[in-house]
Amino acid sequence: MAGILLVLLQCLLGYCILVAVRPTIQSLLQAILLSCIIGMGSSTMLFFFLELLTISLTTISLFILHGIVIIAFGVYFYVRRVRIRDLTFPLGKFPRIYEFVWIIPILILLFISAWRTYYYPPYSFDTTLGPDLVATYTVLEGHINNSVYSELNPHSNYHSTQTYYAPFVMLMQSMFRIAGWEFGQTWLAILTVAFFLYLYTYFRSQIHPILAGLMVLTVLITPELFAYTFILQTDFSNAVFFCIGAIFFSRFLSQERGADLIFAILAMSLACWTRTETIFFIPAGALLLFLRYYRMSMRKALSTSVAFLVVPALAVILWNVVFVGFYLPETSSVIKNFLFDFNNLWSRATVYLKDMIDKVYGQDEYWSYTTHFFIAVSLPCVIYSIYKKDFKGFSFIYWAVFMWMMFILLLLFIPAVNVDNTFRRGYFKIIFLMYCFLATCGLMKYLSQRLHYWETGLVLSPDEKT
Amino acid sequence: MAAQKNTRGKNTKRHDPASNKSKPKRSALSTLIRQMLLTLLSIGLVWIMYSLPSNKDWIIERVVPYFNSVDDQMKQMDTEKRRQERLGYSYQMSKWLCEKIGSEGVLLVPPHEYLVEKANGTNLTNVVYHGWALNPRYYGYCPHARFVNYSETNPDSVIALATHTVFIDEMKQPQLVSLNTEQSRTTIKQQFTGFTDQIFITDATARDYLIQRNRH
Repeated sequence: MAGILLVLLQCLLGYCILVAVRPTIQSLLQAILLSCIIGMGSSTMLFFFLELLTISLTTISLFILHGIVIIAFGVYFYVRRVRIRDLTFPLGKFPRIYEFVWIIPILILLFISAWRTYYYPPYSFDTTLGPDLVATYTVLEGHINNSVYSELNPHSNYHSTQTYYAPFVMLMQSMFRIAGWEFGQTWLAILTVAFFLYLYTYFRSQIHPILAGLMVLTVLITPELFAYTFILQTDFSNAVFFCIGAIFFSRFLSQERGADLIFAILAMSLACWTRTETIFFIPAGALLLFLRYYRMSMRKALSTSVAFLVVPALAVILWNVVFVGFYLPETSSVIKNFLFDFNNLWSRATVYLKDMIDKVYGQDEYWSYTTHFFIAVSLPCVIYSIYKKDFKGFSFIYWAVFMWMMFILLLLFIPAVNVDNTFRRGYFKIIFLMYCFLATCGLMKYLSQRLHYWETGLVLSPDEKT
Repeated sequence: MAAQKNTRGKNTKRHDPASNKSKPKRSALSTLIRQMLLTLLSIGLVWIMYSLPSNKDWIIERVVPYFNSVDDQMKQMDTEKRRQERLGYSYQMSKWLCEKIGSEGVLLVPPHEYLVEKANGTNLTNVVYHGWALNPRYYGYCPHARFVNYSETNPDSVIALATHTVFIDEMKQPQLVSLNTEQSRTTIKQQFTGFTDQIFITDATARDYLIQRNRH
């Protein structure tokens, strides 16, 4: 019972954030799905502040904290005289008959994933040795800073980095275990279902539902990615937050609504909160914002790009500097974060690039047809965009290319990063970005308009659909 | 036709949708027929996606068994059984160890090299990845117990701390032994001497170690 109440409180928290920020949201369903995702992320931050104040983490403190924050939001809405109308979102249209052909397989796959998440305990090596171990002891001792850090790690020969990064998964596991979910990881099922359904509603708002269904199903049946929707690791949640950040970033670029940028910054901060190394990809967005505005207004260019850079950095600092540095006991195992070896940079980089292509990108058993399909479809899309000089959706490709290059730099200078694991699972982010590009590019929009016109005889641009 | 031209024009976005909504060009029946055709198209596309060899293999080998097992799993909701099924042998072993050493016990974790070498010939994955190597993954299942690692540099002090340890018998199976007598402590020290603090996280590194060791 307490477990379900926690889920509801987290969603409500997310919903309050959505109402307060008001990013572009097309339907109530979309708002609910996004509140689940953002609610979880923000809830971990709140929970973490309890730990910073060294308040004991129990079911009672957990619920009182969420209650206080939600009431505070209520008071804020009352003081700001937010009308009832502004507390809701438009209902949206009921799916058309042919959409069910896509929705049903998507729902079946999501059900299988959710069931396995609920039924089994976490069992991946990294999680059981890292976040889940900390969560287990948090339930017993009431603190994140528990005997894992003071007893187990110093006395273990496993110099694992797992307990020192990825606060999001650790805090979610702790909260769900405290609230009474036996294995904790049920939240991953909620995150997965909410994200893929959100992705469908987002794609549907951009392109014809048939194309949207095709794309979401293609992403979902990617074997490696599907597996990590029920194997608890940090990478999938990281990709989810990053993708939402990139979607709202792209929305901001096309519509220039400040709320979208704020929401993108929030999602990107949560992505950094999920995996520390994400902070290295954030400068891509800051750079783009600066280049976009510096001719128009230097002030705007600086304020947007600095905000985009600094807020996610705060999330990293909060955990990696404040908590690990000042709260956790010092560890004898010095984890070497950086290794500045400038010898043979170029040849090492080419070896890494070759590895990335051979061991990850070219592995059909990981990605099935997902990458091939993207290459085949994106080529005409890019040609069309160049021909029409219409570069909608290109921010996604920009993120993906920047990320790929940044991964090479990380491989060169951070010993803990490797192609087989870090890049393989980091590739989830790139897959989401690739398909977000397809769903927003000019050619797909043109095809969608034609399809829509053929179907209804109306020239509604897909942007106007809800 | 006018509307069709409009989609090609530059001002598509500024087109007022309201004017279109008021007088749709197609009858409801025509739209319905077209939607049926789109349904057929969707079914065709989903079928093509399913029949692509790589997708089909994955669905038949993974997704279908996952889906079919849900029914049986729903009948078996005992959390302890679910843990055993997923975590397997290593979980059972951890549980067994925990019960044996009790809440006041301190387990001396043997050197990995010792475990890998003595148990060589049994399932290496069980030894290394799944927990014979007694890694902290399973410590959460006996949170009241304490663990100390065997250390070559100061063996006596760590052995003195411990109440129990694990050794490998002739059948290459792990056995729990109590360290309550001087003799048991000396025997264990003899068993563990000569093995370093090296840790094996994957089977491959353990295999490399065994190859190296046999060479010498």
